[in-house]
Amino acid sequence: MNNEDAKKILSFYRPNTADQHDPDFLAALELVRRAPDNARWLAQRDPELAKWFAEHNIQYEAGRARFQSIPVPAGLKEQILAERNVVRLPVARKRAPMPLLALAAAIAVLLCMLPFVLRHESPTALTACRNQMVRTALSPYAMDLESSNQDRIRAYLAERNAPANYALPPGMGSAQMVGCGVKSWENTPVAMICFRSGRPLRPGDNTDLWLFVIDNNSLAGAPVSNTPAFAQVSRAITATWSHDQRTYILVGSGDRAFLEKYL
Amino acid sequence: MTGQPFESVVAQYYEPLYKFAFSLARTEADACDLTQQTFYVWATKSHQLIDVTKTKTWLFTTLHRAFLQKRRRETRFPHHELTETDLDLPFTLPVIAPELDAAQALAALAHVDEIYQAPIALFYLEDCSYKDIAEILDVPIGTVKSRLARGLGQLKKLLITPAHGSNKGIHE
Repeated sequence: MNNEDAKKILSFYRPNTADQHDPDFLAALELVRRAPDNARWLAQRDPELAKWFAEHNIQYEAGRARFQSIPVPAGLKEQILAERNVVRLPVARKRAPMPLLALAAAIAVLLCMLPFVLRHESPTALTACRNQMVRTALSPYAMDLESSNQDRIRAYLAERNAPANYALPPGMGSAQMVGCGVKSWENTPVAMICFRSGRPLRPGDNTDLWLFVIDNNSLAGAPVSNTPAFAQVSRAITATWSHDQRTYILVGSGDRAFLEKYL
Repeated sequence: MTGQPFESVVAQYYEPLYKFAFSLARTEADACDLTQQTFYVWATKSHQLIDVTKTKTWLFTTLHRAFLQKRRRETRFPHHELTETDLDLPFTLPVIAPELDAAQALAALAHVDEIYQAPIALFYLEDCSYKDIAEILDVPIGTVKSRLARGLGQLKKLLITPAHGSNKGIHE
């Protein structure tokens, strides 16, 4: 290997990482690291290569430091743990052979319990979906379509396979429809219809009420009741209900009394 | 099934996963969603992972796929493969000045062609071997290096020419 070959290889080298033990780099590293008592090393020694390699390492460490300094939001870990899906598969253990009758009984009991186990999974999926929609609503975003024309909004959503024949709660009549977007939950389109309540908006905001609609078939643990269930998520209040095989999640900044006006 | 407690996997990987997600999506909300979605998939499918040493690669692969799915729905970006000939010349790394912070570095990354962004993020962020990066991105190692060489070259030019604004989005 000559010095030019070494340089090509070491262009990809990252100090203090797994590359230190990567066989692809070892031969090239020898050229820049070998103790200067070796005749072959001395013959091949290229001060320019060593200097280039030292600079390469400095630049890599500087870049790595910038990327590593990306701040992680406080509370993210807790939110992940809170939203976890609690389905756990049984851990295989070595145990004595079970008599056939006992095995059959155990299977029967497990089959009877299955609906309850599956039901246990559902609320976390719904919660995760709801929380994701809240984050979408509260984060800076642009509406895909800005319009107060509901027909246009329905057509836009329908073209993108998002629920378009949604039913607005009677209270939403007092809010101004301003646009819509199509979001996603586990690869399923979610309709987002945006409204203004008429309250003063925060600087940079265009909306303060959001209605998300998703097909129940795409949402494990979709609510069965058409009575809104309220939940505070971050600085938003949410109401979630089911109607005509659709799950509705209404999100607003404020308290429950504020949201109830729109139901 | 890996048998690893969910809590310990989250504790070990949520920060690097979030940073990777943020370097791709560049908004806190999207990065949080991607990170949470990744652990949601882990919670439901980790029993399919037999080799516990693959946990990290599995998580990063899952996050990257989730990001790509999200992006493909939002926009179509050109997919152009590079050949090994891109590796013919050695390259030098971008000089990231000490006064640049993470936000500015990511703003510059946002201007690099999208196909090169994930390799660059993994190059800087994670102690992943090139074999792992190739697995995460689902491309051969040669392609990883080709994309890195090209992408780092673009990043270098951007950092030399401070014309990039932090408000230019990835949709442009």
